[in-house]
Amino acid sequence: MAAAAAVGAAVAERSLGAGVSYRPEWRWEVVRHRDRLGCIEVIADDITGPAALALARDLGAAVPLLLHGIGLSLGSAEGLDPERLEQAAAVVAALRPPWFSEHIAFTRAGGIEVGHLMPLPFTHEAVATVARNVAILRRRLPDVPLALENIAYTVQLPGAEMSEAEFLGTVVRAAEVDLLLDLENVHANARNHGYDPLEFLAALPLERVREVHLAGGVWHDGHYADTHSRPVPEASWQLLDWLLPRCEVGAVIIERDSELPPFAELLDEVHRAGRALRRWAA
Amino acid sequence: MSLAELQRQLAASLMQGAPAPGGCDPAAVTRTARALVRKRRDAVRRLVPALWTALAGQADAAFARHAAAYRPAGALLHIDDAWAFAETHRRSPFGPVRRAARDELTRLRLHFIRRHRRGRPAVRERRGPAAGLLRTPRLRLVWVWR
Repeated sequence: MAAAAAVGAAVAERSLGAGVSYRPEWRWEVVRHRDRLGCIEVIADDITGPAALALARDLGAAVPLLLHGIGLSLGSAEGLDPERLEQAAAVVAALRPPWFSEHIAFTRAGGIEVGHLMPLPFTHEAVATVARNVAILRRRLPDVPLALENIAYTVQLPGAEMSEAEFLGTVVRAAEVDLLLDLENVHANARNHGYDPLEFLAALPLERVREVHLAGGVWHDGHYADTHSRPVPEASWQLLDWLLPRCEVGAVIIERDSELPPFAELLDEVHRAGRALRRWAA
Repeated sequence: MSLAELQRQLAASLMQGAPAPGGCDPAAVTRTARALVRKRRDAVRRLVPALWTALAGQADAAFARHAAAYRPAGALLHIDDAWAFAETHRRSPFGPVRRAARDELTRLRLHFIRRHRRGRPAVRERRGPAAGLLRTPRLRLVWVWR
């Protein structure tokens, strides 16, 4: 247990180590195996009342807690939903995570909830939109660092004025946020849109990478789908091995949303990520 | 096309079957729309497993009809979706499906409240204790104490 705890525990001054995205099915496993988890990431949108908040507090007492938003729709040209903004602000104020993360995406438009993260066109208008919405978010969360995540996408939107990597870099600089780098999304996009993932990573502002997400997807109709339903593929582990010597990562989160495996399998992936973090933090 | 208009058109394509926005690959939009339905289906299946079991081989087709007709809303999108799906079966002529739908609605009501505001449903976490009657496998009282 001591060796495992060393892997799960913080590996650098800034780093929380490796952990998992929280699913209710894992409530007791998280507490039972807290010594093997550097952190746990909870979806902020799921905390809509006192019971969920109390549970998150309990989890945070066992393992350092990160908060991740999925529904603020920071890329919405129509602006932010005041109710969701207030809910996110209340949850962050109550749980005081070391940082708060969301996505470079939109999830609603014209009164329609898409229910998933949709891409933005790689344009200056989209950069300005995200920066404007992040400024509104920051006014409600003045004391919490923000990180934005790259998404996987199938639909390429018209009118691109820059590459995807340039777009992500321009967004994080304009919005003055850090980058939550989802390596599985990089892997999926590289497969589906035919680019070299290492060239893509090299073009990002790596000094701004605060957190990394890893997950696994499936092939569906000839396309790689980012389903978060499989173990992390070797291709994404290789991206992590390339990335870690080049930046100081605050946390690595293993995500699994469906087809949940025994928690021990997740812990194996957490252990591998923690070992990689420790190797480069030394 | 402005960003706002592009987003409105893409959302309508994905959720209402409108044509893909100009400059977007229609096949990619269709593929994404199907993936969104699969995501909704998997989430609802996890939230109302007894109803899904009662529907047996009809479950996927029933959900496809529901997904085409209903647009979930609010922060707890999947809860709203599962609630609406169960509602469509609470008067089913098939006893096992009807009982499973009503039990799933009871379970959802133990933890959540769903009200309509400004013409749209809104789900939030229930505060305080709640109780309900489950019908299967036998009639029994269940409660949640908060």
